[in-house]
Amino acid sequence: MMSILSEDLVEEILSRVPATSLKKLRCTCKQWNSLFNDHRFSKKHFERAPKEFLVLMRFTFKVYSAIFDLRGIRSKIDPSIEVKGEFGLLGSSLISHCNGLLLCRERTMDYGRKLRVYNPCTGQTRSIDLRTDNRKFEWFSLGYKNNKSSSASYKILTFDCCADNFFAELQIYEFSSNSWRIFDDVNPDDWRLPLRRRRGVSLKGNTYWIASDTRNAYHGFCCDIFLLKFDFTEERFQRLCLPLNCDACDFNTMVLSTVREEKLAFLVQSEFESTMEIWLTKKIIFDMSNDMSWRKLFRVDLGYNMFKNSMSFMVDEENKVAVCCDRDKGDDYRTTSRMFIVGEDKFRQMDLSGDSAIRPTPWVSEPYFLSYVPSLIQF
Amino acid sequence: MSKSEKKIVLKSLDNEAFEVEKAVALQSQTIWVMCEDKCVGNEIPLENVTGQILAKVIDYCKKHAVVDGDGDESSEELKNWDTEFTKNMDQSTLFNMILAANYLNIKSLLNLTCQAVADKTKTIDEFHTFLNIENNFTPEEEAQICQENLWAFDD
Repeated sequence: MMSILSEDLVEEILSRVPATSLKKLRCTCKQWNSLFNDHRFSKKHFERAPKEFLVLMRFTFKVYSAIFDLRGIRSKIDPSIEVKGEFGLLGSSLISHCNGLLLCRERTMDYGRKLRVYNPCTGQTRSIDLRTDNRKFEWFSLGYKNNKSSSASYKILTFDCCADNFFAELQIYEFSSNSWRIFDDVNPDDWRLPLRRRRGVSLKGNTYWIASDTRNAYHGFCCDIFLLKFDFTEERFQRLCLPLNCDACDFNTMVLSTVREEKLAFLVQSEFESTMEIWLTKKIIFDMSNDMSWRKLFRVDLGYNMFKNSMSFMVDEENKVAVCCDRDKGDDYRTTSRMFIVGEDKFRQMDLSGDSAIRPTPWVSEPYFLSYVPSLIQF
Repeated sequence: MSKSEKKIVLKSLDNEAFEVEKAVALQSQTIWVMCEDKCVGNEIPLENVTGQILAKVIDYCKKHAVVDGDGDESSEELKNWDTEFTKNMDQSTLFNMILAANYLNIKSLLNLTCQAVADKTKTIDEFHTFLNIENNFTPEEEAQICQENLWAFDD
């Protein structure tokens, strides 16, 4: 005969079920449904449940979740990208994410006037009004202050993407007070964040960019490049190391990405050589991590295929491959997206025309990849 | 400490007796408290655990005990052993192991067995059967909750 487990023990088991599976159980029983509104349970679940690593692919207003299977690359089997489905983010576009929460910009009636934070797993959503002075801003980063004892308090950082001096207009939104405030505690005179590299990458509650040290600039171009971190807990910018022996300089393409929401990945492609390198942090990054040491994952010669700083990429560390995506102006001046599978000494362009779901539309932004781990986190 | 003091006898619900090293048994917080309180002799009755399950719990504790230099197993090896340990257990044994780990208060064993059930249970029906839960939504409520939670991860 089957034993009866107490509610506590059933909860012990459920806190170890991956988020997307648990999600399916939600509408089958009242007790289980109520767990989705329980902060204590969602924290426990976040710490214990096995993480699911998905890829989100953004095409302008649409976001798809997908599973990339790149295992076959070694035996020359074509990688597969299985598009699982479209997210219910009607009329808004995804701009940042953190701990399974998505930050989107509403694109409907109130064009550009609202942000929306959304957890696709719990359905929890929150609408955030933009102010007249930050409505024109394009870049927003979601992060959190790490509270040791209680749950994290979420924040949004934004700045003017077009102003020469982006520090002039830094603003922070706090979920706890539901308000924006000007953040004017920074005014460095020895570095800058170029316009083309202002899309940051969020990892473990902090945001990272590739910034330039202006002290040894040559005609406005810098060759001292570093990793810039905004620490949401301390609310300050920090300088961290990029790989020492790489070709980092303002002329080159330099893009950040994350690997399984654990490590940072850095892609650098020289403007003058056709080679591209991908580097990963040696260690798993935590919110307090400041020690960045890097190792080179691979180097590849891409021929004449040059990426722009607006490209995005996903890394499969185990199989030493990456999927890179950007757009290119075709002969008829229409913009088309290109996707490449790259690995050590090999690269191949993928055909996007077959799968209608991931077929990009001309004139709109390229597919943009984000690695995503669903969670039951509440905010 | 004499040899006899290092040993302890655990007696199951069905009166099966197991003589084990104290260091093995003391991984159970419940037994630890009983020994501290000195409210028991050398024999500890465990009224909620059958001999069949207790034997498995003792196997686990022996493997995880740090006894006189025996505890230098690599964590990788221990992890593999854990996986093998729960791999072939049926659902009913796993449940009894969870109940025993909970009663005996052995945190790591509770973690292991709960994770094993979470991993082995796949479909909604299995979750309901195994966890003995009934759908207590009315069809209307169920439809509404499902509608509100439609999303993209399902195929």
